[in-house]
Amino acid sequence: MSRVAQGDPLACRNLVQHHTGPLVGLAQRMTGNSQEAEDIVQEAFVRLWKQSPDWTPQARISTWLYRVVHNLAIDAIRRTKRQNTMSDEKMEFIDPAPDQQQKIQHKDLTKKVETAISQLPERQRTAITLVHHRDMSNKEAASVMEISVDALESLLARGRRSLKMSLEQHRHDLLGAQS
Amino acid sequence: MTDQTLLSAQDREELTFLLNCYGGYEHHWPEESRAYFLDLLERSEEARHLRQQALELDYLLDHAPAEPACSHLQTRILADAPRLPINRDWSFKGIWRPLSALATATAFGLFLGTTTPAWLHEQDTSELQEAYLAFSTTDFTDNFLEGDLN
Repeated sequence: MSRVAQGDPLACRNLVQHHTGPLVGLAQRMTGNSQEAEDIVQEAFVRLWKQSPDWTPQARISTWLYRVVHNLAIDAIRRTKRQNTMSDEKMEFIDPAPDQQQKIQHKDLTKKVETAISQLPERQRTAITLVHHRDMSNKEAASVMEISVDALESLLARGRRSLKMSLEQHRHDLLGAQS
Repeated sequence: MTDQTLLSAQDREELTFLLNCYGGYEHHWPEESRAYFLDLLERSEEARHLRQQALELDYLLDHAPAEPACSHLQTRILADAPRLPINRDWSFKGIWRPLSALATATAFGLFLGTTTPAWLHEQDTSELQEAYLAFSTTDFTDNFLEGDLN
Protein backbone atom coordinates (compact mmCIF):
# COMPACT_ATOMS: atom_id res chain seq x y z
CA MET A 1 0.00 0.00 0.00
CA SER A 2 2.92 2.33 0.73
CA ARG A 3 4.01 1.79 -2.88
CA VAL A 4 0.56 2.79 -4.05
CA ALA A 5 0.68 5.90 -1.88
CA GLN A 6 4.04 6.83 -3.42
CA GLY A 7 2.44 6.57 -6.85
CA ASP A 8 4.26 3.44 -7.97
CA PRO A 9 2.49 2.67 -11.28
CA LEU A 10 3.30 -1.05 -11.12
CA ALA A 11 1.79 -1.43 -7.63
CA CYS A 12 -1.34 0.46 -8.70
CA ARG A 13 -1.70 -1.65 -11.83
CA ASN A 14 -1.29 -4.92 -9.92
CA LEU A 15 -3.87 -3.86 -7.37
CA VAL A 16 -6.37 -2.83 -10.03
CA GLN A 17 -5.81 -5.90 -12.21
CA HIS A 18 -6.19 -8.25 -9.26
CA HIS A 19 -9.33 -6.77 -7.74
CA THR A 20 -11.38 -5.03 -10.43
CA GLY A 21 -13.08 -8.09 -11.95
CA PRO A 22 -14.08 -9.73 -8.64
CA LEU A 23 -15.29 -6.40 -7.24
CA VAL A 24 -17.36 -5.62 -10.32
CA GLY A 25 -18.77 -9.15 -10.12
CA LEU A 26 -19.91 -8.59 -6.56
CA ALA A 27 -21.37 -5.16 -7.27
CA GLN A 28 -23.08 -6.47 -10.40
CA ARG A 29 -24.55 -9.39 -8.50
CA MET A 30 -25.80 -7.07 -5.79
CA THR A 31 -27.24 -4.31 -7.97
CA GLY A 32 -28.12 -6.31 -11.08
CA ASN A 33 -26.71 -3.51 -13.21
CA SER A 34 -23.34 -3.74 -14.91
CA GLN A 35 -22.91 -0.01 -15.56
CA GLU A 36 -23.77 0.84 -11.98
CA ALA A 37 -21.39 -1.89 -10.78
CA GLU A 38 -18.52 -0.38 -12.76
CA ASP A 39 -19.25 3.07 -11.40
CA ILE A 40 -19.29 1.68 -7.86
CA VAL A 41 -15.92 -0.03 -8.28
CA GLN A 42 -14.39 3.06 -9.84
CA GLU A 43 -15.65 5.14 -6.92
CA ALA A 44 -14.19 2.59 -4.46
CA PHE A 45 -10.77 2.92 -6.08
CA VAL A 46 -10.99 6.72 -6.10
CA ARG A 47 -11.58 6.52 -2.34
CA LEU A 48 -8.63 4.15 -2.00
CA TRP A 49 -6.31 6.50 -3.93
CA LYS A 50 -7.40 9.37 -1.67
CA GLN A 51 -6.90 7.29 1.45
CA SER A 52 -3.58 5.77 0.39
CA PRO A 53 -1.22 8.42 1.90
CA ASP A 54 -2.87 8.01 5.33
CA TRP A 55 -3.44 4.27 5.10
CA THR A 56 -3.14 2.41 8.40
CA PRO A 57 -2.90 -1.36 8.04
CA GLN A 58 -5.87 -2.21 10.27
CA ALA A 59 -7.54 -4.23 7.54
CA ARG A 60 -6.41 -5.93 4.37
CA ILE A 61 -6.82 -3.78 1.27
CA SER A 62 -9.08 -6.41 -0.28
CA THR A 63 -11.39 -6.46 2.77
CA TRP A 64 -11.49 -2.66 2.76
CA LEU A 65 -12.31 -2.54 -0.96
CA TYR A 66 -15.03 -5.17 -0.65
CA ARG A 67 -16.59 -3.33 2.28
CA VAL A 68 -16.65 -0.05 0.36
CA VAL A 69 -18.08 -1.72 -2.75
CA HIS A 70 -20.65 -3.54 -0.60
CA ASN A 71 -21.76 -0.31 1.08
CA LEU A 72 -21.86 1.63 -2.19
CA ALA A 73 -23.90 -1.14 -3.78
CA ILE A 74 -26.38 -1.09 -0.89
CA ASP A 75 -26.68 2.68 -1.33
CA ALA A 76 -27.32 2.17 -5.03
CA ILE A 77 -29.95 -0.48 -4.36
CA ARG A 78 -31.71 1.76 -1.87
CA ARG A 79 -31.50 4.67 -4.27
CA THR A 80 -32.88 2.93 -7.28
CA LYS A 81 -34.97 0.22 -5.57
CA ARG A 82 -33.82 -2.02 -8.30
CA GLN A 83 -33.35 -5.76 -8.01
CA ASN A 84 -33.45 -6.91 -11.57
CA THR A 85 -31.89 -10.03 -12.86
CA MET A 86 -28.74 -9.41 -14.78
CA SER A 87 -29.07 -9.12 -18.50
CA ASP A 88 -26.88 -11.61 -20.28
CA GLU A 89 -25.44 -9.28 -22.86
CA LYS A 90 -23.97 -7.09 -20.15
CA MET A 91 -22.11 -9.83 -18.34
CA GLU A 92 -18.98 -10.88 -20.15
CA PHE A 93 -17.42 -13.81 -18.36
CA ILE A 94 -13.96 -15.21 -18.80
CA ASP A 95 -14.61 -18.49 -20.55
CA PRO A 96 -11.88 -21.08 -20.37
CA ALA A 97 -13.71 -23.70 -22.46
CA PRO A 98 -11.41 -24.85 -25.27
CA ASP A 99 -13.87 -25.60 -28.07
CA GLN A 100 -17.08 -24.07 -29.32
CA GLN A 101 -19.48 -26.74 -28.07
CA GLN A 102 -18.00 -26.67 -24.60
CA LYS A 103 -18.21 -22.90 -24.67
CA ILE A 104 -21.90 -23.02 -25.45
CA GLN A 105 -22.54 -25.59 -22.72
CA HIS A 106 -20.52 -23.57 -20.28
CA LYS A 107 -22.40 -20.38 -21.14
CA ASP A 108 -25.71 -22.15 -20.76
CA LEU A 109 -24.71 -23.49 -17.37
CA THR A 110 -23.44 -20.10 -16.27
CA LYS A 111 -26.67 -18.47 -17.36
CA LYS A 112 -28.85 -20.90 -15.41
CA VAL A 113 -26.79 -20.68 -12.24
CA GLU A 114 -26.49 -16.91 -12.52
CA THR A 115 -30.26 -16.62 -12.95
CA ALA A 116 -30.85 -18.80 -9.88
CA ILE A 117 -28.43 -16.68 -7.83
CA SER A 118 -30.02 -13.45 -9.04
CA GLN A 119 -33.39 -14.63 -7.70
CA LEU A 120 -32.05 -14.83 -4.15
CA PRO A 121 -32.53 -11.90 -1.77
CA GLU A 122 -29.65 -9.46 -2.02
CA ARG A 123 -28.00 -10.33 1.31
CA GLN A 124 -28.02 -14.05 0.58
CA ARG A 125 -26.49 -13.37 -2.86
CA THR A 126 -23.79 -11.28 -1.30
CA ALA A 127 -22.97 -13.82 1.43
CA ILE A 128 -22.67 -16.66 -1.09
CA THR A 129 -20.57 -14.55 -3.45
CA LEU A 130 -18.14 -13.54 -0.72
CA VAL A 131 -17.71 -16.98 0.82
CA HIS A 132 -18.05 -19.25 -2.17
CA HIS A 133 -16.78 -17.16 -5.08
CA ARG A 134 -14.31 -14.90 -3.29
CA ASP A 135 -13.06 -17.58 -0.87
CA MET A 136 -13.40 -15.27 2.11
CA SER A 137 -13.30 -16.68 5.61
CA ASN A 138 -16.53 -16.42 7.58
CA LYS A 139 -15.05 -13.65 9.74
CA GLU A 140 -13.85 -11.61 6.76
CA ALA A 141 -17.17 -11.94 4.92
CA ALA A 142 -19.07 -10.99 8.08
CA SER A 143 -16.76 -8.00 8.47
CA VAL A 144 -17.41 -6.87 4.88
CA MET A 145 -21.17 -7.15 5.39
CA GLU A 146 -20.92 -5.68 8.89
CA ILE A 147 -22.90 -8.52 10.44
CA SER A 148 -22.11 -11.29 12.95
CA VAL A 149 -20.77 -14.68 11.89
CA ASP A 150 -24.03 -16.25 13.09
CA ALA A 151 -26.02 -13.92 10.84
CA LEU A 152 -23.71 -14.73 7.95
CA GLU A 153 -24.18 -18.46 8.48
CA SER A 154 -27.94 -18.00 8.52
CA LEU A 155 -27.79 -16.13 5.18
CA LEU A 156 -25.50 -18.76 3.67
CA ALA A 157 -27.69 -21.68 4.78
CA ARG A 158 -30.90 -20.08 3.51
CA GLY A 159 -29.26 -19.05 0.26
CA ARG A 160 -27.79 -22.47 -0.45
CA ARG A 161 -31.09 -24.18 0.39
CA SER A 162 -32.95 -21.93 -2.07
CA LEU A 163 -30.33 -22.48 -4.77
CA LYS A 164 -30.46 -26.22 -4.30
CA MET A 165 -34.20 -26.15 -4.79
CA SER A 166 -34.18 -23.86 -7.81
CA LEU A 167 -31.34 -25.74 -9.52
CA GLU A 168 -32.72 -29.18 -8.67
CA GLN A 169 -34.64 -29.44 -11.94
CA HIS A 170 -31.44 -28.67 -13.87
CA ARG A 171 -29.21 -30.73 -11.63
CA HIS A 172 -28.74 -33.74 -13.89
CA ASP A 173 -28.35 -31.60 -17.02
CA LEU A 174 -25.95 -29.28 -15.30
CA LEU A 175 -23.80 -31.90 -13.64
CA GLY A 176 -23.86 -33.99 -16.81
CA ALA A 177 -22.76 -31.01 -18.87
CA GLN A 178 -19.77 -30.29 -16.73
CA SER A 179 -18.38 -33.83 -16.80
CA MET B 1 -8.36 -46.91 10.83
CA THR B 2 -11.91 -48.13 11.47
CA ASP B 3 -14.70 -46.89 9.22
CA GLN B 4 -17.59 -45.87 11.43
CA THR B 5 -20.20 -45.84 8.68
CA LEU B 6 -22.82 -43.94 10.62
CA LEU B 7 -22.28 -40.69 12.44
CA SER B 8 -23.44 -39.94 15.95
CA ALA B 9 -26.52 -37.73 16.11
CA GLN B 10 -24.48 -34.77 17.29
CA ASP B 11 -21.78 -35.18 14.63
CA ARG B 12 -24.44 -35.56 11.95
CA GLU B 13 -26.16 -32.39 13.08
CA GLU B 14 -22.95 -30.39 13.23
CA LEU B 15 -21.66 -31.65 9.89
CA THR B 16 -25.00 -30.99 8.21
CA PHE B 17 -25.02 -27.45 9.58
CA LEU B 18 -21.47 -26.89 8.33
CA LEU B 19 -22.23 -28.23 4.85
CA ASN B 20 -25.48 -26.26 4.63
CA CYS B 21 -23.62 -23.04 5.41
CA TYR B 22 -20.25 -23.46 3.76
CA GLY B 23 -20.67 -26.28 1.26
CA GLY B 24 -18.31 -29.15 0.62
CA TYR B 25 -15.04 -27.33 -0.11
CA GLU B 26 -12.90 -27.66 2.99
CA HIS B 27 -11.11 -24.34 2.36
CA HIS B 28 -14.46 -22.59 2.91
CA TRP B 29 -14.96 -24.16 6.32
CA PRO B 30 -14.21 -22.18 9.49
CA GLU B 31 -10.56 -22.66 10.35
CA GLU B 32 -11.18 -23.53 13.97
CA SER B 33 -13.39 -26.55 13.21
CA ARG B 34 -11.82 -27.72 9.93
CA ALA B 35 -9.55 -30.35 11.44
CA TYR B 36 -12.40 -31.90 13.40
CA PHE B 37 -14.60 -32.32 10.33
CA LEU B 38 -11.77 -33.59 8.15
CA ASP B 39 -11.13 -36.25 10.76
CA LEU B 40 -14.83 -37.07 10.70
CA LEU B 41 -14.71 -37.46 6.92
CA GLU B 42 -11.81 -39.84 7.18
CA ARG B 43 -13.63 -41.97 9.68
CA SER B 44 -17.18 -42.02 8.35
CA GLU B 45 -18.72 -43.13 5.08
CA GLU B 46 -21.91 -41.25 5.93
CA ALA B 47 -19.91 -38.04 6.40
CA ARG B 48 -18.31 -38.49 2.99
CA HIS B 49 -21.72 -39.07 1.43
CA LEU B 50 -23.13 -35.89 3.00
CA ARG B 51 -20.15 -33.94 1.77
CA GLN B 52 -20.55 -35.32 -1.75
CA GLN B 53 -24.13 -34.06 -1.83
CA ALA B 54 -23.01 -30.60 -0.76
CA LEU B 55 -20.27 -30.58 -3.41
CA GLU B 56 -22.85 -30.92 -6.19
CA LEU B 57 -24.12 -27.42 -5.45
CA ASP B 58 -20.55 -26.14 -5.16
CA TYR B 59 -19.71 -27.45 -8.63
CA LEU B 60 -22.75 -25.66 -10.02
CA LEU B 61 -21.88 -22.43 -8.26
CA ASP B 62 -18.37 -22.61 -9.73
CA HIS B 63 -19.94 -22.04 -13.14
CA ALA B 64 -21.00 -18.53 -12.16
CA PRO B 65 -17.82 -16.94 -10.83
CA ALA B 66 -19.08 -13.37 -11.28
CA GLU B 67 -15.77 -12.07 -12.58
CA PRO B 68 -16.59 -10.03 -15.66
CA ALA B 69 -13.72 -9.00 -17.91
CA CYS B 70 -13.40 -5.25 -17.59
CA SER B 71 -10.08 -4.03 -18.96
CA HIS B 72 -11.71 -0.76 -20.08
CA LEU B 73 -12.64 -0.07 -16.47
CA GLN B 74 -9.10 -0.83 -15.30
CA THR B 75 -7.83 1.86 -17.67
CA ARG B 76 -10.32 4.36 -16.25
CA ILE B 77 -9.40 3.49 -12.69
CA LEU B 78 -5.66 3.73 -13.34
CA ALA B 79 -6.15 7.18 -14.88
CA ASP B 80 -7.18 8.38 -11.40
CA ALA B 81 -4.33 6.60 -9.60
CA PRO B 82 -1.70 8.58 -7.66
CA ARG B 83 1.16 9.73 -9.89
CA LEU B 84 4.77 8.95 -9.17
CA PRO B 85 6.72 12.20 -8.69
CA ILE B 86 9.56 12.67 -11.23
CA ASN B 87 12.45 10.84 -9.65
CA ARG B 88 15.67 10.76 -11.62
CA ASP B 89 18.16 8.26 -10.39
CA TRP B 90 21.17 10.48 -9.60
CA SER B 91 24.15 8.59 -8.31
CA PHE B 92 25.30 11.50 -6.07
CA LYS B 93 21.89 11.68 -4.35
CA GLY B 94 23.33 10.62 -0.99
CA ILE B 95 26.19 13.10 -0.76
CA TRP B 96 24.93 16.27 -2.42
CA ARG B 97 23.86 17.83 0.88
CA PRO B 98 27.19 17.50 2.76
CA LEU B 99 29.03 18.40 -0.44
CA SER B 100 27.10 21.62 -0.92
CA ALA B 101 27.59 22.52 2.76
CA LEU B 102 31.33 22.01 2.36
CA ALA B 103 31.40 24.14 -0.79
CA THR B 104 29.49 26.96 0.94
CA ALA B 105 31.82 26.85 3.93
CA THR B 106 34.86 26.94 1.61
CA ALA B 107 33.53 29.91 -0.33
CA PHE B 108 32.77 31.79 2.89
CA GLY B 109 36.24 31.02 4.21
CA LEU B 110 37.86 32.29 1.02
CA PHE B 111 35.79 35.45 1.20
CA LEU B 112 36.86 36.10 4.76
CA GLY B 113 40.42 35.21 3.93
CA THR B 114 40.64 37.67 1.07
CA THR B 115 38.77 40.61 2.61
CA THR B 116 38.92 40.72 6.41
CA PRO B 117 42.72 40.59 7.04
CA ALA B 118 43.28 43.83 5.07
CA TRP B 119 41.40 46.14 7.45
CA LEU B 120 42.43 44.12 10.47
CA HIS B 121 46.05 44.58 9.47
CA GLU B 122 45.58 48.28 8.82
CA GLN B 123 43.99 48.81 12.19
CA ASP B 124 46.73 46.87 13.97
CA THR B 125 49.44 48.77 12.16
CA SER B 126 47.99 52.21 12.80
CA GLU B 127 47.49 51.47 16.47
CA LEU B 128 51.08 50.27 16.79
CA GLN B 129 52.35 53.28 14.90
CA GLU B 130 50.44 55.65 17.18
CA ALA B 131 51.70 53.88 20.25
CA TYR B 132 55.27 54.00 19.00
CA LEU B 133 55.01 57.71 18.13
CA ALA B 134 53.60 58.52 21.55
CA PHE B 135 56.34 56.52 23.19
CA SER B 136 59.13 58.09 21.20
CA THR B 137 58.04 61.73 21.71
CA THR B 138 57.37 61.51 25.43
CA ASP B 139 59.89 62.83 27.88
CA PHE B 140 60.18 60.28 30.64
CA THR B 141 62.86 62.03 32.69
CA ASP B 142 60.39 63.53 35.17
CA ASN B 143 58.97 60.12 35.86
CA PHE B 144 62.16 58.70 37.27
CA LEU B 145 63.80 59.47 40.61
CA GLU B 146 67.16 61.08 40.56
CA GLY B 147 69.93 58.58 40.12
CA ASP B 148 67.61 55.86 38.66
CA LEU B 149 68.52 56.80 35.12
CA ASN B 150 72.02 55.65 35.68
